[in-house]
Amino acid sequence: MNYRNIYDAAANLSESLFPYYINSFRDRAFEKIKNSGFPNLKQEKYKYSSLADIFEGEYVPVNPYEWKKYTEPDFSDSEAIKIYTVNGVCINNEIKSESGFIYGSLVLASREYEEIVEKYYNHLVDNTDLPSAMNIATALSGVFVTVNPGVETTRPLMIINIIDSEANILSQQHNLFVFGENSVAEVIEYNIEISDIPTLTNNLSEVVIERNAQVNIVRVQDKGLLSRHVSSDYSRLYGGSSFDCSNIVLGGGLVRQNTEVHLAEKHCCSNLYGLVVAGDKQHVDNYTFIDHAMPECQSNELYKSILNNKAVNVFNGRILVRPDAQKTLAFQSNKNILLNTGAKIYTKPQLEIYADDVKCSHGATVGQLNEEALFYMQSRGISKPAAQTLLMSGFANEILGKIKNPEFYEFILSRVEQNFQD
Amino acid sequence: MIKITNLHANVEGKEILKGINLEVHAGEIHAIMGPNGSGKSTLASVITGRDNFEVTQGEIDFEGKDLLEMSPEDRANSGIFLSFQYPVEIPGVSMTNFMKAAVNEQRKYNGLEPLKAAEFLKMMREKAALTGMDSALVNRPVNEGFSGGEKKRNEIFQMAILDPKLAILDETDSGLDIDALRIVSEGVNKLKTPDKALILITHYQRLLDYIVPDFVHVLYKGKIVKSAGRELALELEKKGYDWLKDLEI
Ligand SMILES: Nc1ncnc2c1ncn2[C@@H]1O[C@H](COP(=O)(O)OP(=O)(O)OP(=O)(O)O)[C@@H](O)[C@H]1O
Ligand SMILES: [Mg+2]
Repeated sequence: MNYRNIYDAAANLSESLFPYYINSFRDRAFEKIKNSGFPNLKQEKYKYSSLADIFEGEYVPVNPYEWKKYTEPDFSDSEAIKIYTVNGVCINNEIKSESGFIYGSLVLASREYEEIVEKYYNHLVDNTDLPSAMNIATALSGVFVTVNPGVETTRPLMIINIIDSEANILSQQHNLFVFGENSVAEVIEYNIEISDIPTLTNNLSEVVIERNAQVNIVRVQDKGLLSRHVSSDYSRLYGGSSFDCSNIVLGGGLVRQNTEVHLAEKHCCSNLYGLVVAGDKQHVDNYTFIDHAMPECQSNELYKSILNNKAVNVFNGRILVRPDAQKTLAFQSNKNILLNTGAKIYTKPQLEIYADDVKCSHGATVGQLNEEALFYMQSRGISKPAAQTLLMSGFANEILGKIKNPEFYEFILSRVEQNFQD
Repeated sequence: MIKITNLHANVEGKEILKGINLEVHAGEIHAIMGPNGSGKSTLASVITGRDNFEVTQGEIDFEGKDLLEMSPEDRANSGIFLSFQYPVEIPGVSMTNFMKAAVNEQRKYNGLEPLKAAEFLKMMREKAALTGMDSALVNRPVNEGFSGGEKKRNEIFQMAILDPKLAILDETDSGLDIDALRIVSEGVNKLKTPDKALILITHYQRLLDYIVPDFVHVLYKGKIVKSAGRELALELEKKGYDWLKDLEI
């Protein structure tokens, strides 16, 4: 990729879009990329998915002033509030306030909500991570969402990110979520693609969860097999807050998700869930990092996959328990079903524990569909393919069940079952 | 209804069934007894089409059809039901979804439209009442975390829903408490009509007090070594199986 072109294009436009406090991060982040480039499996963190593979190819930047019309997906009957981006750009250049959410384009929010955006923008991001640095240096759009302290939102907010382009674009969003003290909120992010050419998405989200807030985020990635999709999600939890986050990957040729959670004060609880349903030659890599910085926090992780054909799935789960983080509870589990001998799974737990009074565990399983359960279903008259679909849905349901919105749940379940049949 | 002729079957190269002959007519109840490991469950598995058993010789005719040529699901849909000795847990699949799939596949097989949601739920409620199945279990994943007795009751609940012509109950009585045994047996008796048949695999006379067999067979080392009327069960209860060792097999 010609980073220089992308950077120059961004530098030209960024001044008219964003205030200085955002643009001031760009140069340093770009230096990082210029100096090191995107390495090839050398970084431990990217051992199974080369960054060079992900970022190779010529991509053109998106014009942030231009957006296309979109067609609403099938779950439009859902009661959720919906916000659309096309190629990363918010199609309604406005900030709205609805059912407890304040949401809209980050470009506008960087001025209208300057006191919030300036306080948090690029405060959680690991700027040594190259995809993140690329985003900080060159992203020109994003979604801003905040919920005021004490507000319990009454409907979910659904962010629908659509890639629709005739050119090989690099689409980048920098999203910022700030959930005030004691707020309650549910956010769904649905990533789809209309184009049928190789595109690269390199998104970044910062999620700030203030004291005693309760937040549920579900991300679904349902793009075509030519797309490359990188997302880096950084969350920070403050005292007594809880965070449920589900990452569901159904599509994408090459997918890398970095999910980092920092437990920054006492009594936080984080639950990360993941589901990968992959076939063909899909390559999906989930890297998670839970940072237990303070005592008496709990984290749970459950990542599952169903792999067919020559799909590759990587799960790398890092848990850091710092010396102060006494009475930490940290559990991690990775369960995989291989439908085919050509599919591969790499699972790598990474526990670094520097406190002594903690309970931590991790485990991984790899197996096939349970033959006895299949026969049991067949003996009740259910055909073998239908029995397989039921079993796989049952396996997936433990994660899909985290989607609270009924219409979206049904829609994603049907997408998953469609994938099983392919 | 079903006619088994000279049936031989292997598992992992070892012969388990060594020439079974058994004929069951509509309206009959047959009990199969015999010591542990004699091949009773294997016979049930072969009838229902479990593929880790290899049939090396013999035939099974079910209502004029060559059963051994049929897939397990086709056997089920043409009216054969097995109540498993060890019912299988299916995490993540609710009883409701499981039974909905089963009922609709059976209807499809018989050229019928799928059942409407309301009709299906009504049937589930009726059959749960008939077999004393706790309605809370119906919303849980299949057999997951069910107690031993609940699993057995669930088998009979499924039998009530699928309404088979030939039901094979493999030690459904073990694990049931005394009241449950009575309720389940009453349920089975209510389901039994003159056009249906029943094979009961059991170790205990107790079940046969409730569901009275027309014939009792003793299976030993892969063969039926003795067949008689219901009095044979009482005799076995007294004598045990020691006498089998004196038989020439
Ligand atoms: N999958 C298998 N692999 C190896 N051996 C098997 C397998 N299934 C059954 N067997 C063997 O076949 C024999 C018959 O088993 P089966 O389960 O049919 O006995 P059973 O008469 O039902 O006994 P029980 O009264 O204890 O239920 C046993 O020796 C058993 O170990
Ligand atoms: Mg047995």
